[in-house]
Amino acid sequence: MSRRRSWMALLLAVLAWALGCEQTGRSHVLAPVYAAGTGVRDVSQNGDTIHVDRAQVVFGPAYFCATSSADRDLCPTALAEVLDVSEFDALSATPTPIGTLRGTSGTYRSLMFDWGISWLLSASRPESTLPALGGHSAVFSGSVTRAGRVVSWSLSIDASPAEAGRPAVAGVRETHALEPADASRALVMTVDPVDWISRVDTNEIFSAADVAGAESVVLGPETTSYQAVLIAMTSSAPPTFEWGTRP
Amino acid sequence: MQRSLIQSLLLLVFLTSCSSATGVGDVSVRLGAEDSITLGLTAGSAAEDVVDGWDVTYSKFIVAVGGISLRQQSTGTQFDSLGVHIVDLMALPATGFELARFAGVPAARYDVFNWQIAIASASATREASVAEADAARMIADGCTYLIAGELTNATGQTCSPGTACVDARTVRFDLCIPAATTFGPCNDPDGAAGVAVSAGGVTNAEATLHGDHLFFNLFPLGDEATIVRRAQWLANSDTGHDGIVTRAELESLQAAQLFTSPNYSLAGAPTVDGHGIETGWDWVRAQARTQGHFQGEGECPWN
Repeated sequence: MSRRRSWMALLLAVLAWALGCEQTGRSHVLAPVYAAGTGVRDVSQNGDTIHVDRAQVVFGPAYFCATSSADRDLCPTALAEVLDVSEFDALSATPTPIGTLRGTSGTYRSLMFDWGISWLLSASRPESTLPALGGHSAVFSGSVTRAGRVVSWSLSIDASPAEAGRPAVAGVRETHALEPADASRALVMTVDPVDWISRVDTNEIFSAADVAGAESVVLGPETTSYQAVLIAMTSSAPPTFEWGTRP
Repeated sequence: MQRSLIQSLLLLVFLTSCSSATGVGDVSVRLGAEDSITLGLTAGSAAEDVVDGWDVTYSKFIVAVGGISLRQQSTGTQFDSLGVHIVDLMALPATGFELARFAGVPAARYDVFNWQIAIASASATREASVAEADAARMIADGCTYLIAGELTNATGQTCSPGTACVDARTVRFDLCIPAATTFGPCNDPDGAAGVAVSAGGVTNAEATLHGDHLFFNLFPLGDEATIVRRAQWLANSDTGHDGIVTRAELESLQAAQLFTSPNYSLAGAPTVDGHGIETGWDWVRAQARTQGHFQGEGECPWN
């Protein structure tokens, strides 16, 4: 009789422990991440037509935070991260695998990330983590047409963080309750490079072509067009992140 | 013996259960101004100086403020004060301006403290520090702030984009800014959430406004220790070269012309009317949405 009671007590204790662990534990989550563009290559600006024929972009790393303002100081420990740094064709609407999200279950409300150039706390300056694209965050090229005149342009963006330990892009508000079931799904990041490029100043491009006496210009950091695209990539036109079925 | 033991245990349980009911107190929520408002900013190389040669002085720093909320998440106990006050932070008493007072608050930590910068309206209370004409302007133009002052630099210049630089020793500004914001949940400077209310007295909580965010070179979401302060962009915004910067001038200038990398970063900036920062005016409105703090330097996420 006493032996049966002992076994029952032990069984109950184990059952209680198991239930307790199930209620209080957090689960690891692993899910693939893809990048895609919109497939759009042309945009109009004040009667001019801007065409984009190349948009190669480097993404990563990225950190997903429980707070609504992902930044170095308000997110010392991320809920999830994508440590991969990958290049992809931002003009292609076909999702391209760019890495793996690793995290724990819970709700993230914002994220921060780099465009391939990071400034670690231990480093004296920003550094590119991928040799592709010559160490740049993104390389764009295309043309602009005005009244039959066509001028080619190119643009190599360096989205360097402003200081050590800070990301290039911060506080991007996206909310998702991360759960183990996400392992069978995929996170797709969508960028709109034509939206970024639409912010160039076409007057600046034609003026630069006139000064150079050539129908091809390089838009460097000293140009308003470069600065406008950089602001779009790092602040005003961040990518979107959506969970869905695996491509 | 057994009865006295039981009685002692019961008394202990009673005392323990009653220890959570520790009385009530009052909470006084006051509005405070950082020195950067009342004393301005100084050109120099020290940590909080303006690095590009300009002194900044405010003559008016009027704000429509209110919407105080104090809440304990675990119990849902909440205290609200919806009234909006139009106040000039240049004319605050040393102890600050009382925005709200909650009486009979059970002593405990209220971990959610929110406050708001609101669009000035006819239902707001105009405090004595604010001229009728200024309040009327804020109400007519739908502003949350009316900020006026000047930049001074003995060797200053205005270098507007696309034009030659001209000498400018003094550049004034008088801006009615719409930047409605909810700040919170706020943490105090030590990182503790909200307000710990003590029993039997008055607990003070300060909603603090800072006056240097317009001159920040980026948008910190936390620590401001590494911020660089610059004012040349505002001097450059005087495209009319008449010594005063207007909203129209700021709207005419692209952010890409005024706030260039590597001196500036717009990462983490608030949106303005649902879009990112595109003009100098957007920058002013966005930075105005970040300048609310708690108990001095405590952080408040903005929404």
